Amino acid sequence: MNATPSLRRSIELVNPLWVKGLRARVRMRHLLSWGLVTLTVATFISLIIYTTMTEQELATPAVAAKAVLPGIIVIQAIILMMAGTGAVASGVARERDMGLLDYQRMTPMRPTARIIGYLFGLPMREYVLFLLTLPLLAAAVVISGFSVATLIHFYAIFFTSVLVYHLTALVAGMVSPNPRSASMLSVGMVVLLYFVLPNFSWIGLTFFEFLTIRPTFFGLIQQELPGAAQEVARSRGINRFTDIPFFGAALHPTVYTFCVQGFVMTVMFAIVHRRWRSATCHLLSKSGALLVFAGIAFFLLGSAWAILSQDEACERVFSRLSTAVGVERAPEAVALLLAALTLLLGVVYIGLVAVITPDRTVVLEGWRRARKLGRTTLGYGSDAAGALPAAAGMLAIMIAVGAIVVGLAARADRFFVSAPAPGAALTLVAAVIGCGLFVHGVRERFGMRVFAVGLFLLWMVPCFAMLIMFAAFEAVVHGTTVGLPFPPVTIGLGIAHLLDSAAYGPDRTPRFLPEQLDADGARLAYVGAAGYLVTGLLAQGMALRSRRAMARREAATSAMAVTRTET
Amino acid sequence: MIETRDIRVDYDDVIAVRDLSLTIGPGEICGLIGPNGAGKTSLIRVLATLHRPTYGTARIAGFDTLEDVADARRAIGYMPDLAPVYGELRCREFLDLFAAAYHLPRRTRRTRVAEVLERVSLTSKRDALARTLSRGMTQRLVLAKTLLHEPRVLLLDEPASGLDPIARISLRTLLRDLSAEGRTVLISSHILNELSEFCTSIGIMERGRLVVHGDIDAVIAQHADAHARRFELRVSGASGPESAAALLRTAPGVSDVTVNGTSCSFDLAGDDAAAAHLLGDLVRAGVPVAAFGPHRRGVEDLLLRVGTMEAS
Repeated sequence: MNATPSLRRSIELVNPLWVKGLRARVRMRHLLSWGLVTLTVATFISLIIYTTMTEQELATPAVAAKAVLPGIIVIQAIILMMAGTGAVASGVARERDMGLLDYQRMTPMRPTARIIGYLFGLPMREYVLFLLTLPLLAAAVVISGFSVATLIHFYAIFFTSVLVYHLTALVAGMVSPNPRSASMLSVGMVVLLYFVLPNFSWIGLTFFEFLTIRPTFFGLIQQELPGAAQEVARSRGINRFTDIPFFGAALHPTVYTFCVQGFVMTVMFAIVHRRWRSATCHLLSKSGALLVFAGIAFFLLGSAWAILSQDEACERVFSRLSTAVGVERAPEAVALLLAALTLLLGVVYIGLVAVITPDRTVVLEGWRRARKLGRTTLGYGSDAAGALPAAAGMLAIMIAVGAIVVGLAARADRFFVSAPAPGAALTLVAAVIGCGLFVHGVRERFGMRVFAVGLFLLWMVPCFAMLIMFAAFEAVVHGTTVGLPFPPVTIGLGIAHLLDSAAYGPDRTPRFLPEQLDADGARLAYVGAAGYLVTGLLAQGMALRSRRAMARREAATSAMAVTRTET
Repeated sequence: MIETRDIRVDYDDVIAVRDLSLTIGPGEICGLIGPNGAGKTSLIRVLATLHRPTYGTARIAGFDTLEDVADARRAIGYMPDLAPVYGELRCREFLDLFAAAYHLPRRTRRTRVAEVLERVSLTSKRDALARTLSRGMTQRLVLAKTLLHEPRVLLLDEPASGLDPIARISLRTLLRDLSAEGRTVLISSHILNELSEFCTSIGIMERGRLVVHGDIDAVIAQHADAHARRFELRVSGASGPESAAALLRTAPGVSDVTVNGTSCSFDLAGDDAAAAHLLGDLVRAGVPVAAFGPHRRGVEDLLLRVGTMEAS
């Protein structure tokens, strides 16, 4: 008798959006079409591997059944990670476009319940299709005797990866202007996360690699598979599910994966949560953006720290680098690490500054609200407030990360005999600050559209001109001079100049500034840094004048309104 | 029930709602009218807690829409202009989704869904997919969703658009019933003359400002011409209206004579005695008078009049 009300309560706890997902996307006709297609393809792939191997007597039934596992996992990954991600992004974007999200906003469901509802409700069909492949997986496991514990371990990480992708798609759907661009954005993000960013693991920055299931798949599943499959893992440089060097310690890969994916999920969740509360607010608050930047810097620095301070980690990365890009000597690894960290953190900085810097309309609204409430300033945390303090904080973190990396390299004998010259370090710091201030100033003064198009033209045209001068005229000095407005050139010259100013052991005499630049290399590094510092300050001046003009204009408008009312 | 104070809404350089203050009491049906771009939808979205105003406050059923958002939302039934629905769901599934989202107990959900379907005359379509409904039926389905959680305040943005005449009559009856239950209704509509038949108060918006607001009869009377009153004359017989109109055009104090079917309407300068005198003249002239009385000024006339005043 007592069980009934508690059962009812449990049923009522079922998220209405899951029920909606089931009803809208998993009707019998969907199961008959999509389900049959999935079952047919999965059965075909399983049978062609299994029967070929057994009938041709290439392997025993147990080994052949093991070989079936990757095929089924790939199908499951396609269903959940590609189709599911697309379903989430386009589903939420369509609802936003049509105004259906407003209905959901009006209900008393908590934002967290709504996020969980959409996260599992929108890809409901894909989850059901995934379930349809499980009998084949179970058969393969039973025949092969594959470790169930390993499989459970793998699927735990598989599902956290799926959640990362679906949360990313939810963000894409909630911020893109229409369903088509949401779909494109989510696909772009998947390509970036899956195929581009994991490549940084070649230089030991494993953060992005562990957002995917690649290391778990190659490290955990492949090593239990037949020899040919293990070759693939070896060629990828992932042949062991070993501990991940992180700062001075080594983390179990599962723990590291959960940390990395947990961080990204928290950020995505915070973004979607803010968007549920208000459709027009910034994706992140100022302090939230600073925390995100600090988090990414922490994970990247953790890997860099381990490479520079742990012999084994260092050896593992260098041995990979020697086969990959021909870098044999350690100082080049420092240069690569610094360049990669600056590039990654720079891109994150640009993205976050673009997100948290208020547009003119938001600033004006903020001033109007403030005047109405009798305030003379905009609160730091409000969307309307300037993003300079947060941008300065991010630049400080970026410089601190660089300083720690150089400091660690200088401390370990294998990299430097003596630390780089302070003057060269200051040049690099000036270049980073100048670029950072310039980016923020342009975003605040000219708004998002001019920021995006303007920066592309301001940066890419000199870059293209530089490349043409290099390729056609072999004019390295002039080409580099023309390319200075492109930040990677200026900052790259700064890094090269910094590392050239350090002293190395007798058997190591690396030179990072190109030989063709000769003495001009250092000069160009100074010119680039000084130029960007001046440009950055000018951009900040323009942004400040614009901010003050808006405040004055709004004050004058308010005063006129008061006068009219009194009259 | 609805109280706003100095609401302002900006979109870039456009001021959509300009320092608007408004109070609507319990049981009132307030019609919000105005030309396109007057700020009606912006105001309704602010009241529905879906848009944060630049400044100003709004209270719905005593709850501040910025501070007590959750409580305010529980009190609101909001129906947007385009009234979208989940096309892949059946009507009862669509309503069940929102019944669950509004935390209606599971045991009463089915009954409640059936009730609201009945109230909007969609019971026969309960198992139809929402995408197969006509525009008017979709409007009614969304209206049913709006009524599910028995909100104390209804914010309806163009609820009558797409409805056929019978459905409009049903809507009118429904709104009167809701008003009798003490619920407050704010309704924006372009079908203006219908508003005068069921609204108890009216607000006219023009370029973001609330230029007129108050009891509908009082507002109409206040804006009627002090010197000329409009009358309506209904006559019997096929040639009656034309001959009556010809007579009226020659009568002293009569202007702006228009014929509409078996009726003529016209402005008459003067008091009730002048009207009585004119009626006598018409009867004596052999006009077959079936009815004679003051013409009720519609909301459309009022909007035109107030709009013209604003423009001038």
